[in-house]
Amino acid sequence: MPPTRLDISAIHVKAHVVPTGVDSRGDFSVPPSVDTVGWYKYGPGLTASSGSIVIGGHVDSATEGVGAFFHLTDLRPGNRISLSSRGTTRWFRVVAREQIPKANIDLGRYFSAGGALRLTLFTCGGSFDRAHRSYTDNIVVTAVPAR
Amino acid sequence: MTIPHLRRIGMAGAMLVVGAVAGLAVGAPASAADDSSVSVVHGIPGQPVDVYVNGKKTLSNFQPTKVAGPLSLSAGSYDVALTKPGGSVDSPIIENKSLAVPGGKNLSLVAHLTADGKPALTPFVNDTSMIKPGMARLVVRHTAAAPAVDVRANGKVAFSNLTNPKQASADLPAGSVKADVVLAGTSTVAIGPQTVNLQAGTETIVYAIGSARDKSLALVAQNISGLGQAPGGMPAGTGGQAASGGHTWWFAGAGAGIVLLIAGVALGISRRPHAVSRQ
Repeated sequence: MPPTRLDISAIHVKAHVVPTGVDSRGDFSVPPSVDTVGWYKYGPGLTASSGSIVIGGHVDSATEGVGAFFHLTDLRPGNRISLSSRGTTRWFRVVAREQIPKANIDLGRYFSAGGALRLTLFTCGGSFDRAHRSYTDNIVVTAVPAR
Repeated sequence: MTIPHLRRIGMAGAMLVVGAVAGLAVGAPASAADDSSVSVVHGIPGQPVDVYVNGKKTLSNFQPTKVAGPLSLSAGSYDVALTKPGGSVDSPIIENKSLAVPGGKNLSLVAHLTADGKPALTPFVNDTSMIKPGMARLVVRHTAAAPAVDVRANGKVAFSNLTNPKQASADLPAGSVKADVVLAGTSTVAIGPQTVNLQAGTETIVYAIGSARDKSLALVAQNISGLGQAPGGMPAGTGGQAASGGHTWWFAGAGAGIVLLIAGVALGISRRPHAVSRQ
């Protein structure tokens, strides 16, 4: 089931979630609007019992400014996240935040459809390469089911 | 009088030895990575069976068109026999006394009919290579007592001139396809049409089973999930406002530990030998 809404009160995120896949280069296709985040539709969905539910969102954009995930780096262990669709809400709690150079990141483990159920939030961070208008790192937040 | 008696003793001795060897083979310690995952597919209509592996009953009253397992078997040679339910393992319907199981593979062992209608046990090695994001893998196996066929997807020939026991495969965009099986080179439908839902990152294996002469042709599907490749990258910012001059990573260490733990649990789950169950 596709989630439609993501709420993280600790960093004042109330974002609309849309299904997304990959672009022509095979990269995760983050929704163009910075207020909207993308759920990876080829992986586990809202009612999954295992694997990684992946949501990617802009930290910012050159044209629209600050993005929904601008403050992802402020998340702390225990912060609660709700992911919902009409009639279904699931709660998660943050257990980890990592900053990983894009050059080295093994996306396979974050997109795995196997293993314990978790919610994985992605954005960009690190230093900014102005020539390529791109950040050097990914910020990855891992959250596990909470009551 | 003495000769039959001796013969009986001799046979009993031989069976004991076979049993001991079989017991060793089944119980042989092997690391999980060397095990193969073996699914069993029943493609002989009208004949439920018991499945014996090395003389030990592994599946009871296994019904046609069902897929069972996967069993976790270490590399080696196995004696696989199919009997009528409750039947003696000494008079099997089909037996392969030296089924070679390689290490670390995903196999499907298919009980089916040959092109001329004789029962057979054919192992297939499944392609578990990763599938590109948004794509699905369709594998078609001809395991029916029928001549060469073409397999059509949405009315167009996808695989042509497939003969028993050959297979064909393609990675396709995820979604539903209407599939049917026609006699090769014709538009005479032998099976279907049937809607097949191809999910991203999942391999769908479709078996044509049964017998054309007995009008028992049908399709059986088996799924292998979790083969979806991750996207190539995660570009999620073009503004530069969030650029860091060096954050303090107050729980990066703990975080990495927890992520490793989750990854470990994932591995543990995937490596745990599967109990035999019907799907």
